[in-house]
Amino acid sequence: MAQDSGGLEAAEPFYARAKAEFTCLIDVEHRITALYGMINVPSAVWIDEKGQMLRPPEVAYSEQKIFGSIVAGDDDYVLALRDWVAKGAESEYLLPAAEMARKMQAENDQRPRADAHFRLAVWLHRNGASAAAARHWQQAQELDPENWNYHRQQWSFDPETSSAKFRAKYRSLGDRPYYRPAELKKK
Amino acid sequence: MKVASYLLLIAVLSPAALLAQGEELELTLLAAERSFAGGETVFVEDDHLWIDLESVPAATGFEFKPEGLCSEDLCIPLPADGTWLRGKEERRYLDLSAFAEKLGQVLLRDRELPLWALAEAPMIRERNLASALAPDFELPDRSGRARRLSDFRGKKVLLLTWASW
Repeated sequence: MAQDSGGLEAAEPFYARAKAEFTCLIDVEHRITALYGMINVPSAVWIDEKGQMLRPPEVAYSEQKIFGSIVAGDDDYVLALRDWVAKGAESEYLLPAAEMARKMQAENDQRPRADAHFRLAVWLHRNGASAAAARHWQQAQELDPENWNYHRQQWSFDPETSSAKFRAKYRSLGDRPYYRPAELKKK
Repeated sequence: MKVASYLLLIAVLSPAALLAQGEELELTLLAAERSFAGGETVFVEDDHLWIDLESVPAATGFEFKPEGLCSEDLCIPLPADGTWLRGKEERRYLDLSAFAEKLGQVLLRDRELPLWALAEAPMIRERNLASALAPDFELPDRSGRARRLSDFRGKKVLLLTWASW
């Protein structure tokens, strides 16, 4: 699912190159970011046949990747995923509902307001009102400063400055990780 | 009328064209899965946004029942004095600002343009969290076809996000 305000135009070349045979969605307003409390890509949630979440949003690379000083993902993620596919409810990687709720509890009660600003920004940006959009991009980022989706999406519209903005914000993390490691320990 | 003429008409009337030309935007509400625009559907009075009753379920996820406005077993009674409802030119409207305030739900307006956005109701999020039920949504796929998460019941789903940026 593309969290991409560039819409189909931005996402389709990647889906085509991947020869994707799975369901490919386009989420222009980053609705999933807000609904599931995601803050970066790639993130994933496991959902069973009844619609119950079994793992919360977490970084979901197919293997560990190193981008400079950024450590992204976990080699065990795909192993865990395969374990769930094979064993279903017997998989050792599933979390109980209470643990899911604890992990998904919003750490920032301003997130709904940030989401509303972000959606206004996307709508205005896509409808040609860049100056008005800029106000709302900024509000969304100030209200939810840890949400990389809200930052990186806007930065992408100005390629000349996006790298510098990313580096500056990345440095501000200090010792905190860019991706919180998925806790794949078995139950 | 030829297809090209239809497309031209859509282009002329779209918000994009209007905003790009600096023309006036009609009142627009961005709700969870669609937007609502135009005086018959939404209007503002005394800084409150009103929405016609037929649009309420799609805008809020709540439906009118005898107990009030309800989302599954969660019901918000309407005030007995009728202040949340009013008629206007043969249509009936809900005071969405008052309803959102009651729910603690963010209803945001742009400071210059007649553009509003309604965020998810905290009560709904808390209910989903408590049950670990994956929040349902509808989004378009590559071909533009609307797909709902709940359409995939009976299958395991890996909901995986990525981005081109």
